[in-house]
Amino acid sequence: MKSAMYAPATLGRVLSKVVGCGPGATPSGDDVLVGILAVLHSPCSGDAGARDAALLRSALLSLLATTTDVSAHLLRQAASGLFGSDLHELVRAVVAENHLGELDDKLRRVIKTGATSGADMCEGLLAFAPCYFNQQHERVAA
Amino acid sequence: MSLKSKFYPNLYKDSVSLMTVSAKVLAVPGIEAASVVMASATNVENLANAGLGKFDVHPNDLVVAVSGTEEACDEALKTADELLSAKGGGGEESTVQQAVSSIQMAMTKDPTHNFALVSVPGDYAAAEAMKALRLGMDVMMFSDNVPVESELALKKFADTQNLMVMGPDCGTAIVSGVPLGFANVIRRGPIGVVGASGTGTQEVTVRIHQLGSGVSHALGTGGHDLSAKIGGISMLHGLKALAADPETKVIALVSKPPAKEVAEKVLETAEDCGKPVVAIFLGADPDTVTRKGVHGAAYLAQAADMAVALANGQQPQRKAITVSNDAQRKVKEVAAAMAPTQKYVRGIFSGGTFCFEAQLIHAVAGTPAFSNAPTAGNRKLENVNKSVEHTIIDMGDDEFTQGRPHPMIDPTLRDTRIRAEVADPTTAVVLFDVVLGYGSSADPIAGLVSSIGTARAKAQAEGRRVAFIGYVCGTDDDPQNRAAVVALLKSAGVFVASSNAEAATWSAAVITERKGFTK
Repeated sequence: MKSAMYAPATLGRVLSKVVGCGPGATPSGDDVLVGILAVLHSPCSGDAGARDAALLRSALLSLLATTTDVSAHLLRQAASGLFGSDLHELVRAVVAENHLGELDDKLRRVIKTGATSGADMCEGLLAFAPCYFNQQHERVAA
Repeated sequence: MSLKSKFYPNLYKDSVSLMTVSAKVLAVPGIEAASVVMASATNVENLANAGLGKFDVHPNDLVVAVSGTEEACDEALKTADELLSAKGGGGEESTVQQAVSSIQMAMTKDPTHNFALVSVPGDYAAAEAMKALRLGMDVMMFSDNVPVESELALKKFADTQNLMVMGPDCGTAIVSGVPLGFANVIRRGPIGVVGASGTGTQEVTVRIHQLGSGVSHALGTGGHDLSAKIGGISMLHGLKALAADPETKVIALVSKPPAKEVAEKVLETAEDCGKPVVAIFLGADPDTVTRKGVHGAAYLAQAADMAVALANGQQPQRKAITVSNDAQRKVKEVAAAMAPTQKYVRGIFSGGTFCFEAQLIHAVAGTPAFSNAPTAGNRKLENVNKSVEHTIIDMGDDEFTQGRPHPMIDPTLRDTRIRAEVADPTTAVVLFDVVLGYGSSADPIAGLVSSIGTARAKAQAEGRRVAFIGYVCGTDDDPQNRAAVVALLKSAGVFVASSNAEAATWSAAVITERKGFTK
């Protein structure tokens, strides 16, 4: 996914393998994408995040018919930057570099979402957070 | 070896249930491979790749595919069928009661309900509010983007039923001690408030609490209520309701200046209501508001002071905000330490009424400012993301909150903006608010304190010293712990004022001092 973000030509192909993949009413692949979108839509991901969110959104929309209705709805919301409050709070806690106890608490809340959906969202979030948030930190510091 | 499958149209199961069923099916003796998944295109392709067959199904269907001996496959499908048709689908037994999904359902469940809070997207809000009104409930509409025609229709109908519509776009209310929307933990007491502005109501109620008094009810009307079109229907209703309420001894009205004829109607009603009334129409000359039994205030905190005085049986005084000797000394000290380029105030607000009040106070002090929401006489900011000269902005306004949470909920953008202002060599004062209470961020200054620290260090390295002036709107009983928030801000070098008006007055004083240096 990460390398595909930088090669838009292959993004659609990679996404078609991720969307609808795995167990659950919202298949795991979709949940991971929600986590990724939460990172991209964070104001702390700056212009790079906004650009990649738009890229991912346009690649995603044509694939929504291939997954379950429930999941397609979730992805459509996430692609427009709308997330559950627990996920949103977690992104904030990661950005604010809150102390570990608090991060732990927010992480637990997200993991409790659905059966495995929450954990899958965390996967996506944590895989992408370092690339986008660090860039932004460096830019602010520079 | 055979290959068998079954699909269930429109059956949703969560992943743990599906994996549990998969594991049990796979455990059937003679089964070689099994998969129980939602039939998304990718999953169907994976089934084909795993040699479990090709399927022509819809993504909402649930597929069970198995391979193994003929008998084992039959047995496995039977097992899956039993598990999937059982309650909970192999997962935990469900004990959730049927959720209430309509106002009518809530009413059927408990007919004593008499109040509905509507917080759905604007397009649907009026319809929901009307349902509640027809069931005899008072309504608070947190929703915004409700057409003014719908607002008028709702309020006219409510008026015929002797019911109140608070809102649309009513963010703050405290009804019989129950905080709704963005509201603080306020002691119950003798003062009733009707407010057309959310943060205005928060400021007045918080101050009443801090002065040791309390609030009977704080009713909201929404920002359009006092326009000529709506005619103040909700404020008039709220005023009459508080006049009739035995717990309420004093009434405070909070609004930006209403349309002229509406102001007249409201003040006439206030005059005849039989209880002392304090009216703060921010920006209007208090003398034009004052009449028999109605006391005009000039700013929010003053309105609270006057209401508390009346509740204590004293004569209300319209005391001007004075800069104490200690504050005066600090103002001079910080202004004298600034670099020659530093001239301007940058007010970065999350509360709309705080932004409004700060602009008024600066304008009176000879410092007109640019804003995204300018008060009369101030100029509109061309690019809301770029401050020019004196700039005082409301980051809770639509242009900043499209598709994002309000800065009271998520202050990230506000913090970023403050860093940008400190980096500007012309900035002398950064003025801001922190709003506590229910609805607001649980930790509103986590990012702010570190932002101020790094921004200040950077400015200092460039030979500049910026004055940070803040106000924390909240009570010590609020969930965020006001005392701790104030202490943290002070330790970060912020001058923390006791009201929004005082913060703005300090800020204006620094700017006036700077004018002496840069002339």
